[in-house]
Amino acid sequence: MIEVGIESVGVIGPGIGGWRDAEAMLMSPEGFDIGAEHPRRTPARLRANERRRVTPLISMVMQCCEDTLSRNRNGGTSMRSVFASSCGDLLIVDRILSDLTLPGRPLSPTDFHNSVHNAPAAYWSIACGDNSASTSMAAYDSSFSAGFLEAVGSVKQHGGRTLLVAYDYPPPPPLRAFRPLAAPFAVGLILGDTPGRWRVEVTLEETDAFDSMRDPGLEAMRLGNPAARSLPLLERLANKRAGSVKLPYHANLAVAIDIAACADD
Amino acid sequence: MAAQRDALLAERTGLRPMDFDGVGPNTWVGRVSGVEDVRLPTSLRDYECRNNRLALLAIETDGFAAAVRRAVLNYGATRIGLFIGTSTSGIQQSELAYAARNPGESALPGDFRYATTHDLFSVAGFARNVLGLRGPAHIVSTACSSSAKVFGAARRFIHAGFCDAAVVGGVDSLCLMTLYGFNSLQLVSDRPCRPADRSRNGLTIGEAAGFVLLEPRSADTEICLLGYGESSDAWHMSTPSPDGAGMARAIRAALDCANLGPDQIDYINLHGTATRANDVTEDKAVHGIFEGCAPCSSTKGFTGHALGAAGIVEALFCCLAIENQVAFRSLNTVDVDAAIRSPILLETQSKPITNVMSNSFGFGGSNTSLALGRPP
Repeated sequence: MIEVGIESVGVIGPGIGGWRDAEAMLMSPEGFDIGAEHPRRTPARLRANERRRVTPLISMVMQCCEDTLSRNRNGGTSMRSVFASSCGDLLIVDRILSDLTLPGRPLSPTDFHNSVHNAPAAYWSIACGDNSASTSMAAYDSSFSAGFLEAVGSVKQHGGRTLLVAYDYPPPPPLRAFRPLAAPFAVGLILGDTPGRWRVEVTLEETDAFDSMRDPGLEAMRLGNPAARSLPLLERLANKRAGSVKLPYHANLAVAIDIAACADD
Repeated sequence: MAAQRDALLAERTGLRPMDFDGVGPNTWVGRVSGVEDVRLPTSLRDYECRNNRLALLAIETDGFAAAVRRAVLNYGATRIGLFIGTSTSGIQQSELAYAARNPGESALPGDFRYATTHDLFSVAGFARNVLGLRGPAHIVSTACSSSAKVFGAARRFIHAGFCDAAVVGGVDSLCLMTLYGFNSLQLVSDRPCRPADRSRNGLTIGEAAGFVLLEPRSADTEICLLGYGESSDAWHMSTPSPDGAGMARAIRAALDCANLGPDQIDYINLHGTATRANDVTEDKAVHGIFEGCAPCSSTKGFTGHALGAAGIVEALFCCLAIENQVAFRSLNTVDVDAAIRSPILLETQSKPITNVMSNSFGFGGSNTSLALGRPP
């Protein structure tokens, strides 16, 4: 069992432009529409030339990071980071794969450098001028749980704070048939070695049991995007009540998160 | 490992004129022979792709699978983590599927599989199955630092108690996306890459797979991961921060983590891609810290740049350097760029080697340095 603090949460998803929207949605889920667009804001921290290069996915991730940091009580944007995503930017990969079928295989250099899995992390570090260590990782449908463990490990090993961002975006048509994600979703957490707003205890358990969402719309969201596998945790954080959640990890493994205490807003 | 050691000592390159794709850019490649002939176990046929074939080739070499089987008996299958670096996974399968469509057709062929080939986690799922591992697992994908960063992930997971031991690795295979992508950035040489050379004009793309079993130190331990350091340039997507500050930060963090001073490093395996920008920037970082006290070389003249697998390959070369007490030469380097001040090895050098450092730097300014050495 490992104890860490959750200092802040950020969420972008269908009809959700930040943690405040998510809190309201999780308290009364009737209005949740998985087909709704997410409210879009231009990433404020990016320089104009970088802003022109970003893709819808990078934009969503930046928006989520900014939302997470906006309620960051300890101030300061400098912290280690973990970016977890199953698919990365398949919109760009699809463009590259299509270009590779053309005579002469004319790839766009910007597309190519944006195609690396750590592109969102790189844009974020550039936007914040943050030299801290950052990792970008993937674990298919278990990407959120994997990222959460990595972020907990980062806090445990290095102290201080670690930003975790998990995100995925539905692929464009040819690939969507083989990887059908329901809607864009991104979640950010700041974990730290002080209690924060929520003090949580984390255990890796050998079990196939895990929590799901009672509301059918939110359950469809949970199943429709690897980052939304975090929803049972987010619901618990929104309720501000002590208690525990289990999130699915790999077969016969679950991440148990026990929320021991939470501070008022 | 023996074949690698022999080639390094005999100063024999594995690079050859481009023979991967019929059309191809005018370049050389570090293609691994025989990958095409590898067949996956029948029960894992859904995982068929070049990347997983390459992974299997490495798993079945050097008694690695047997060592992991012993570890499973020792620690239990759920107590061994698996962390693999890759940048493009089995994307070649998608390249083939896109190319197989008729003009005007959007849908991919029905027998195309995404999750077990193109998807980043594919090689981790495959290796988990082959090795019978049931513990924590993920892919690190930070371009060319991916399989250096897996050492940090393993150390954190073990420290946190999520596992007791870990298999770390790196697997990246040739594909059109990287060949034409680096070509579009004008970073690919038309000749075998020449790290640190005055005439260097780009990298040679290679492919590789490598694995390491990390266990808590025991009386039998011969080589340790002494430390690792990670940083971000926070500068640009595809060029390093010109002052080398981000790279220097990773190197210092690795030395601090290992509790070593610069004068205690006996050999540095450089990232040394042979692009104009990387080699001179890396030298600023390295020379600023080591001030010429440690001999340096890039081994990419032997292997090419294996991208997401470069970190693990070069960490293993560092192990060979310690085992054989030899610092490898910078192959294909004849006339060192006057702007590069670190001592670049133009000849293979036998010398006492206790501690070594390996640098891996990736697109987006993802920097990692590893310190490896004899148990302190």
